[in-house]
Parts: sequence; structure tokens; C-alpha cells
Amino acid sequence: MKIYTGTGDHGRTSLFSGERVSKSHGRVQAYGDVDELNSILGALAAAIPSQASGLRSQVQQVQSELFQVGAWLATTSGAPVASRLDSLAAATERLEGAIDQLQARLDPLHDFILPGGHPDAAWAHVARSVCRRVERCVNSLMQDASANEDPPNNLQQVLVYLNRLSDYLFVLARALNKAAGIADVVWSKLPPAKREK
Amino acid sequence: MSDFTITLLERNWLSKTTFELTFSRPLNFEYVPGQRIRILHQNVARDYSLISSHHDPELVVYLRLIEKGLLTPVLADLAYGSSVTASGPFGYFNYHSSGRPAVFVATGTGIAPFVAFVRSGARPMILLHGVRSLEALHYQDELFAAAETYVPCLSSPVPPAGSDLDVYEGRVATYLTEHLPQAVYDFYLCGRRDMIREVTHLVDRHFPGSNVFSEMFY
Repeated sequence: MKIYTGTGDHGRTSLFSGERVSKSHGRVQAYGDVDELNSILGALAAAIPSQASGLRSQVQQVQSELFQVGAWLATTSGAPVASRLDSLAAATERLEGAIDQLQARLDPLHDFILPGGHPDAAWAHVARSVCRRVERCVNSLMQDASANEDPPNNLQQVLVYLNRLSDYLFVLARALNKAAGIADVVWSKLPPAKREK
Repeated sequence: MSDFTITLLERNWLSKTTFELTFSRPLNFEYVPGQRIRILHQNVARDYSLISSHHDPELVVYLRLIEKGLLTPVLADLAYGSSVTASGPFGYFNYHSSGRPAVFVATGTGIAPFVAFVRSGARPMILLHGVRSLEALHYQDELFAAAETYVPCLSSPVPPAGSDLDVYEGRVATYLTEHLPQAVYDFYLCGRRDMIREVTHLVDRHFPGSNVFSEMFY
């Protein structure tokens, strides 16, 4: 099966709701960033060892949900095709459950921690920071939508899901460090450098 | 999505290489016109668009026999009463009524989802069907009756007195460029990749602001 269509060769693409838009359109940028996030999660899932297969399954579940997120981002509010998409409410609720479950097994956190530790945890932090970028992108879209009187209802649920996902990825990073027996590195202000006379 | 079993009830040859298969419809199997079912047989899976209305009691697919294909030769010979495994429905190529006029453009067996649209009450629309020869033109009476404008487009020369229908000699993209009035439309494209690419670029140039929904047939 050939995967290319060539319909985007001139810099335009079709949204899921049918509109032809520039490939630099805000919605295309947003679902492109979701694709980047999903790919990072793919790398993370591939690296998680079989001893932590439960966490790997969770990550893969998120990967599936990100396809729904992408579909919502590619669908303008009020488009008839939106009726064919699943709401993200259940996915958001699932994430909240996963956060609570993971957090219950972690030590309380009183300080900032450095993104890093075990390579798997470091990837989770990369994913988290990309997820925050998607959030900012969607937030801008919502502001544009308001300005254009396009009801931004579709985007609200996306924003909530992404906000929860960012939190989940933070907790996941800590859980992966714990699973690997690596302590979180707490941030501390560096002592001032010595001045030579 | 779990698999289910469907039973072959009827086969109807429309030409030497195209035929319809009518299968039993499982209880509670719901779909939206334009969706596909996946038929699985000996580790081979292929998707086929349903041409039946979502209200019909049976499932009907329309397909082209591919001589060296892995599944269509089997389906072409399958005995009545045989069961096959299927899954679905799949796909998002569905008709949505909007304030914009709809233009359906198909090539070859890409007409299948449009037959389902028409049978499910989609109206009104301009419908173009590009085929190589008159023998490949199917459902024309039904489509002609339903469409505001129905244009069979033949890429080969039209034989004299070959059809009662008015036939356009040329490709669908050429017809759209030459005859479709300037307006904002909802374009629905189904068929060969070349057609989808060409018509999509044409929409960008000549019908800005229009929507494009497409499904490629391989």
C-alpha cells in the first residue's frame, strides 16, 4: 500500500473537518506537536524494561489517546464530523486515576527536581516538556478561536487532557526513576563561584 | 472491535471483473454510510466499502476482481451459505449535509461509498464518475435519478450510440475545471490517488474556501 497522496505538495492540507488550510496553520502545528510527543512516548515505551511492563502499557494507552487528541485538533468546532469523535473526558479521568496510583507509591516532594535520572525518566521529562508546548499551542488556538467567534468547545477538553497528561508524565518520570533505583536529584542553588584575586 | 461472522447470501456480477456480494447483517451491527467492513480469510484482510444503506437488512459490498489478488478470487468463487470473518465498521468518509453544495467525485469502484450515500438519502449533489469504458459504469440509473447533475466521464473515446446517458469524454478534473461554476463546495473524492491529488490541487486553485473529504482506493 502506498502511503503518499501528494495532496499536500503545495503546502496545504485538509483538516479532518474538510477545510483546506496552510501547513503552517495553528491547528496543523498543534497536531504536528502531538505527533512529536507521541513519537517521544514511542521511544520511551520501547525503552521501558519488561519488569515495568505495567508502566509501558500505560504509556502505550496514552499513545492511542493522542490519536484522539490529534483528531480533535484537526476538527473545527461545530463541524458535523465532530459527532463521530469520542470525548476525551474518560481518558482524562483514566489519567487522573493513574497519577493518584503512581503518586501513592512515591515519596512526597518538597523541592524542585532536575529533569533526568535514569534515561527512561529523562525521556518522560522530554515528553512532559513537549506536552506543555502543545498545551501552549492549543491555548493560543483557543484565543484565536474566541477572536473569530468560533466556539472553542472542542479545544477545552483537549486542553484539560493535555494538562493532566503533563502532570502524569512528571509523576511517571519519578516512578521510572524509583523503579530503576535512582533517587530524584533535588534542585539546589549553586554556591557562588570563588573569585580569584 | 471484535470480529464477527457474516454469511454469503448472493453474488451479482455487474461485468466480467466487478461484482456485488450480499452478506447477512449481524444483529446490532451499526454503521454510517461510507464506512467499510474488513473481511479476513486465511490471514489476509481487505477493506470493502458498504454500498447498502445503513437501514438495509443485509450488507452489500461492490468489488473488482483482481486476478492475482489474495482475496477477491476467493470471494468470487465463495459458495452461497459460506461464512467469512469480518470486523468493523471502519472509516470516517461520511456525508455531512451543510449549507454548501456537495460535489461527489469517484473513479472506478470508488463509486461505492457514494452509492451508500445516495441509498441513505444524501441529496442534492453533483456527481462525477470517471471510468475507462462504459462497461465500468455501474449504478448509473440510480445515481442519475438521485443527483442534481450526474456526469459519467470516460477516459477512452465514447463509442457511437454506446449509451443513453450523456457522457463526458475526458477526465473528471478536466470536467470540473471547464464546467463547474465558481462557488464554495463540499468536495467528496473517492478513487485513485492520481485523481485525488489532481482534484485537491484544483480545488485549492479554483474553488478556494471549499472543503475536501477524500478516501483513496488502491
